[in-house]
Amino acid sequence: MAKRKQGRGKKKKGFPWFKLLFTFGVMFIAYVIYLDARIMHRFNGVKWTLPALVYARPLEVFEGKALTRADFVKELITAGFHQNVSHQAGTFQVAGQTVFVRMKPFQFWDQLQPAMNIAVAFGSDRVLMIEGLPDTLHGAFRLKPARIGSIHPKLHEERVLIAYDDIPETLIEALLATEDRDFFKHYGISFKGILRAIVSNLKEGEITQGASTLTQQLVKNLFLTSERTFRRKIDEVIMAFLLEFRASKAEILEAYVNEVFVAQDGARAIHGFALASEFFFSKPLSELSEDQIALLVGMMKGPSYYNPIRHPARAMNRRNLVLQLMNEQGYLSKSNLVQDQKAPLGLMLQPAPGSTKSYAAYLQLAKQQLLRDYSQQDLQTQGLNIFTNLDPVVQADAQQSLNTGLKRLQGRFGQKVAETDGAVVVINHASGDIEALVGGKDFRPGSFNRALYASRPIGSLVKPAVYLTAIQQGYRLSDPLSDAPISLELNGKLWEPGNFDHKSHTLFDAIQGPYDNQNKDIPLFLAMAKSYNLATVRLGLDLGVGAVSKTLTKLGAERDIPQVPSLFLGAVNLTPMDVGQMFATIAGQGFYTPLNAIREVTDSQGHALKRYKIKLEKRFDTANMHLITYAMQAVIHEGTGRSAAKRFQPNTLIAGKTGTTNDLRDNWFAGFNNEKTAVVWIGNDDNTPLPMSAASGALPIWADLMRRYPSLMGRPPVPDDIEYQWIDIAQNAVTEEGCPNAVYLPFQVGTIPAEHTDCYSRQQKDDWFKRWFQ
Amino acid sequence: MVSINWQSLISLVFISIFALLAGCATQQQQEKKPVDIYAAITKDQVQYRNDETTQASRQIVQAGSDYINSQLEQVRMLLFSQNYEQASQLAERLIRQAPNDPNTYYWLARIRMEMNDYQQAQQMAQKGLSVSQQGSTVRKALRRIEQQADIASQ
Repeated sequence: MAKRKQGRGKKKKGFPWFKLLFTFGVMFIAYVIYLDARIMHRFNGVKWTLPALVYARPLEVFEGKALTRADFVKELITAGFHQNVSHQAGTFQVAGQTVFVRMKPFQFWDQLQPAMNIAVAFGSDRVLMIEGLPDTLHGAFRLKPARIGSIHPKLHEERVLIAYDDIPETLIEALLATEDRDFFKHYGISFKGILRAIVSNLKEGEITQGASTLTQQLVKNLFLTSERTFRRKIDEVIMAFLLEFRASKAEILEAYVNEVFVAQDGARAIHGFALASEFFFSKPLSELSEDQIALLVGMMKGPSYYNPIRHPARAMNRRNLVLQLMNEQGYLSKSNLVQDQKAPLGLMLQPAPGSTKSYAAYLQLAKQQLLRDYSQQDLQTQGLNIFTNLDPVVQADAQQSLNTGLKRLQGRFGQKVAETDGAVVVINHASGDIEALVGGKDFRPGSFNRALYASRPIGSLVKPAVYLTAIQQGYRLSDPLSDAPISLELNGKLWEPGNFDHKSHTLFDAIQGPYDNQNKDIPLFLAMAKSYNLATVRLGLDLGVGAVSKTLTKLGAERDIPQVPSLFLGAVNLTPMDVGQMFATIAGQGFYTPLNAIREVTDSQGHALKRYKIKLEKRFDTANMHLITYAMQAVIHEGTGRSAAKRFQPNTLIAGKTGTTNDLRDNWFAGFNNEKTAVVWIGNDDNTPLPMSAASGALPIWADLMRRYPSLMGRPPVPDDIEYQWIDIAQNAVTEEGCPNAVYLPFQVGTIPAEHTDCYSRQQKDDWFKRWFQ
Repeated sequence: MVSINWQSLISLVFISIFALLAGCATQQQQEKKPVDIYAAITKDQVQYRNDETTQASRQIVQAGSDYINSQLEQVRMLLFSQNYEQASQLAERLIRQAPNDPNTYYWLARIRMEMNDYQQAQQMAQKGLSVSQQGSTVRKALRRIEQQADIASQ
């Protein structure tokens, strides 16, 4: 009994295999469920959403348009056209002054532009003739706009996503040939692939093929670390199976192409082939050649080891191996293989006009404006098409002008400006379109966007507001202002403003003669042109802080404006965008137009959702704006901006104002021609002083940019209530052309000075005498 | 008796008048010449205020006006067929192409009127006036529409 009992007892105490297996099974299932949940959470969260696609403005072309052939070709390349003779849609050829373009259809917000083959003939500076346009387009066509980025959840805006249908065939073939031949046949794991890799690697004597399928690699990229442990491998296999069960092959491949880690750029990881294409070749994935695609695919094996920047020879060998495998798999002909293997790596690391890198600052602005009308979620998931006002050529010009200007300053001032950075904003002031926005010399997603957020004292840029207030209060451009020293007691402290050169001035200084003018005051327009601080403070005190502050607000500087006399010299912090709004109102002859980065929004099917209409609000009298514009033209032709005038054709209609703040901490120039307003700021982020004033710092950058665009000559249209008269600026009296101190000045009708000079009276007599004899 | 040679006398009078005129002219020339170095103001750059230059350059910059005019005709047709949204889109495209053409503002003002946006109609008309030349036909039309919009908005 005891034995039986013992035996029974032994049996009872035997190892509980079933329970263990059951427990293990339950735990395994729970673990699989957990892994499945992870997959669904991450894959759905990222993959199954349609990000908003952001486009530049489309270039509109018609006969007579001011556009050079070179700029047109630049626009074509930016919009993704290839220059070749293949006669496929999306290509172009240049023959002399004519460009032949083969265009795909494109759904704009207002019409579907059909596919067409056209010839555009150019003169030296404009379009002479367009042939091949369908009648429905009424003599003009629009180029498909360049895609400048997308707005995607939880990721940087610069991420470039690509849909399965848009993945180049060559990329899929290269991936299949190199990474996973049986991708379309297996269920996440390829035993055949593992065997083939072993055989191939033994034959080659090195590891040329991996055994992981594309699904496994995607799982590794999305969910796992790169640690080489048994546990990770098990997870990888289970998750690969689960993913194959949950998603289609097309969805897995699309996710792979968008998610896979390709390279490291400093602290930034480059994920996805489309972004890698932008990074290494500065062009969209769709424009890469076979050898360039092979290079990117080759990097999958070891992004760091095969990095073509650091290890070009290694990367080239790997690329050639990928091409070889493509040839063996029948994806590449022998002749193409030979040709492609001879091709150089062809890296293009500088941001080109078509690269999304150069648009990151603008994208930040676009998103900021979109969030006023759309939720973050809609932008990230609804597949909206956002058509912006960005002009890719102007954007590239602005970036180039800033970078060249800063480099030139570094050549001159060395280490003193090593950390100096800047910002540029370019606006079409008739429509309020923001055409370009540069956030810094090397702006990347996540960088500090100086154009939007660098709120700095504006210095003498405030003066147009001060002088405009004076004009509104009845001052004339010829009225004399004293530039004598002045001191004020403010809150118990003595404020003694001074001029930039620490001197006070008379008319003699301002126009360098004649001696008689030594004790004469300076006419208002010239005090502004020469940016005299003492004259401005005296004028401002007469006008009142409140009045000047109100003018600033009406111009568009909708910020807190300090109500102190130092406001007259620019003690107010504004961003380059704020300044752009102010000066666009002046350039627009007193019409305030809200600045706008977005033009149209359509849904994923191309149906119009929202238009951002041009809106105008007349805030200032047109005649007064004509007068202040005159004074700002004088800044460039006769005043502190004079060094810029020589960069333009004589008499070009340009006007603007320099701004240098205390201790040379900020350099500004804001100005306009008849179509564009541009603002340039340069300074140090830590607010340390610069070694130069705005005339040597910001102004040459502005001039280098604005000289690229055609403008009217002479003066803006003269309003009905403005009349011009020759004035002796020393006497503020009517005179004649050629008489001493004679300047041709505009006046509101009825405000021309009543006094006449002797020279005027004498000439009137002469004229009478001449007329009598005629 | 001293005989008067009338022919010589007439010649003498003419020579005197000529000399007098020449003297005046010279004096005027001397006045016109700057007596000192007025830097930019008198020597350099008064030309930028010269209206002839302005007119000439306006013609160059506004080449392509055939296209603008044909498109304005299109805007007119869209407006009259009550297709206001499309008319508005096209007119705004034209403002971007020819921001100094008062006709585009005129048509956009009319479109805004039809869309009952009188405030913007008035603003567009005023903008058109600010870029139009004195005495031009479009100026009168713009004034009219500005007044209509003003009345309608009250």
